Amino acid sequence: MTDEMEEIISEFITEAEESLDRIEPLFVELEQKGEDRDLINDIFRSMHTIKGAAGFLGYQLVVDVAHSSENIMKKLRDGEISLSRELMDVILKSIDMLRLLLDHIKEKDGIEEDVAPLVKELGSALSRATGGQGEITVKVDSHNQTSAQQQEETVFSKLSPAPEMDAVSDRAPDAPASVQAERLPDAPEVIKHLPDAESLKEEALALNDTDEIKNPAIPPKDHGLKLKDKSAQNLRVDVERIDKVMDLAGEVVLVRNRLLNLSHYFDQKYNNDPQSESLTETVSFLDRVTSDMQLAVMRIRMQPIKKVLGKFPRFVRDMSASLNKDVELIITGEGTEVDKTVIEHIGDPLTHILRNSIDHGLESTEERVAKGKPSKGRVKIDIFQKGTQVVIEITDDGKGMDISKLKKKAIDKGLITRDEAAKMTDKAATELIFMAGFSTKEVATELSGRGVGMDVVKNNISMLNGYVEISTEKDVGSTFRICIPLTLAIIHALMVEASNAKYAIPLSPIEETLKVSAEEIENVSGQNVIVIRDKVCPLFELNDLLHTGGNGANKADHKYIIVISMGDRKYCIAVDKLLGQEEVVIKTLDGIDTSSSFVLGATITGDGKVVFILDVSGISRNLVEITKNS
Amino acid sequence: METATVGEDILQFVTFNLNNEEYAVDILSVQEINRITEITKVPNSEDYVEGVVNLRGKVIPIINLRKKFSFEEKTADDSSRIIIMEIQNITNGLIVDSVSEVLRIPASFIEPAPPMSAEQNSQFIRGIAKLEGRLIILLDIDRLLGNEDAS
Repeated sequence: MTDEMEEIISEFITEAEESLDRIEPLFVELEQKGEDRDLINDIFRSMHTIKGAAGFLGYQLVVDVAHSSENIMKKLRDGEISLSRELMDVILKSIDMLRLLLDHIKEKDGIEEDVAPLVKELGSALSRATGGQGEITVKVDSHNQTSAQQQEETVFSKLSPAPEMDAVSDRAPDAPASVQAERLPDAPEVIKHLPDAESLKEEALALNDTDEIKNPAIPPKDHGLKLKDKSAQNLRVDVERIDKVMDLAGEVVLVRNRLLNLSHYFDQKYNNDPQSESLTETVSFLDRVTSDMQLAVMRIRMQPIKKVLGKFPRFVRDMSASLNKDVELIITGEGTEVDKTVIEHIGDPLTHILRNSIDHGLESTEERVAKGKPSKGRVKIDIFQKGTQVVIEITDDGKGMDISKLKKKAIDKGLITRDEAAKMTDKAATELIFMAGFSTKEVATELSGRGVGMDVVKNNISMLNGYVEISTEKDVGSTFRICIPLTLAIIHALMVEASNAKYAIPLSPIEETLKVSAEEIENVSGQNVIVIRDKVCPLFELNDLLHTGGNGANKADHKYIIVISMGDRKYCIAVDKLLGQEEVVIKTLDGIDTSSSFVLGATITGDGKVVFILDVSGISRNLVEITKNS
Repeated sequence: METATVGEDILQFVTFNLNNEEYAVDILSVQEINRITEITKVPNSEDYVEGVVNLRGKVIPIINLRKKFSFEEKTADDSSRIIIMEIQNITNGLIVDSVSEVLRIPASFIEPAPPMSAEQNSQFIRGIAKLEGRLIILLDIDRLLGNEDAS
């Protein structure tokens, strides 16, 4: 297979997958709203595009499936049939099948799925809906289909003779693509590439479909304009390239830090020298520009979290159907942008929480009615930015968590002792569900309750340097609040010193820093504690945590204490010195096992030294253990 | 030279000294050789991990080969070097007593490691090169550094 063909195919797969991702939630929306022509049209068009492109590339199975569900969509659009749950189920099934087929094409594994039963099911669902007129419909449609295909091939062949489609749009002055390019002289980011050709094709298809466009008098190039506008806004770039830019931006930040140090030195040494003054000025300008650049580069990696949420309406629909619960899902703030890494790792935790909320949180419909609640259960996902953090809240209006039941379960499972349970605050008890091997449902259901899952939530989120907390109220509901820093590559950190070595502590979990005298530290059954505003807080020496061998702080009359707050956990770390705040670039540590070293990564400071960044959430996870040992 | 199993290729090695023995590593895995710079200790890490260094903006771990082989410890001096190697896409540094030369050794000069002992270190030996009265221990660097995670 030639490279150009590979490229076209991979482009097709990407686009088709994106279309599926996009239309899947629309189905659920459609089901809720009932007949909505715009929605149906939208879905119909997407299906049609997939079918067209697949036909051109010769993926007959994809064409068959897409075509059959398109038939249903067409009838729906024309109002000949009305939407039923049965229809929706088969259409969703066909979406799953399309995904599967696309996967096979992507993997090039040559596996052929048997689509005939599904096509038949789609056909019979349609004929049942139309009352036996299915046969004729199919015939009519297949006629349309052929002509559509012909037309699309014409369009495509116009573009495809040259392997570089982008070149075509450059060269041919009459091609709509270049018309578009001329229309946007101020947009240097206009990238003329394959998707343009795809969207043109789609446009051409839509134009040729007379049902679609009511007014055929609209000149084609205006349509081109509309769609091209959309593609001009987006540009697909290899993640590797972005990461490279990220890395380089990180390097610039480091150099900036070094320059700041140097200029500070010269400023002090030659403070009346005009040259030194202008150096300081220049460096501080560089400082600002670098910060801006860093932010801009970071934003390249940011994507709306919508990408992850798209699958949830369907997920909730399927789950509520199989549990026989009526559930309404409300999502707000889906436009909030988060780092790409967050997008990649937040899907699983959110799925687990959502599943937990619906399965364990919400009561059955009868129970809800008996309690005087609306029969329809509600799960809300709210996403918003708060300072330098992204907050995701998942709230259900279910029965809330039963603290005593949680504790009992944890004791039965041997996860905690009776004593521990007695001392545990309600808030701490809710965290029990995050422990590995914990599941409160008596009977494990198909969907949740295998005891795995919720611990994944905690792990994934702390991997992202964030934390999760729960608030719950009996019969009112529970809220899971996930807080994640906006970016993972560059963080603000507090530089500290212990045993003559520098360490960086991420600033976000630090609540305050204190200077306390040795007398203020008390010892409660082997554990050092400190009372801060009437609250007892466990205290650890950084030297002990890291086994640096030094205990310099013990000699001093005063200790510097850093109060760390992770969710509802609060603890203090004693260090020898506080050095100040710095912006640090996280460098990963490859080749050494840092799983037990409480180190998140390393950074390079202004003077070129390597400094470790402490993993405060890792320390917090091990708190119980440390407390027991000391 | 009784072994001719590896073919008659000529292999290139970087040789170095450690505890008064001569060792060699495949030149292809050596990226560069540096003087000892400032090494930052990794908290709670394995004993033989000397720490990490800043190699032009990259943070790479440094293995103390004497400690890894449980030899007697020796403080770094003027002739001590760090051999930077890239193994399985991970860059590592090895601290050695001194680096000697680049040697071209015909494959037939290399004998498999004698099954002399159940000693821990012998698993890292790829073979022994005999030339002009010298015995050079060829290290299996993939095993030596790739083993990292398991240990």
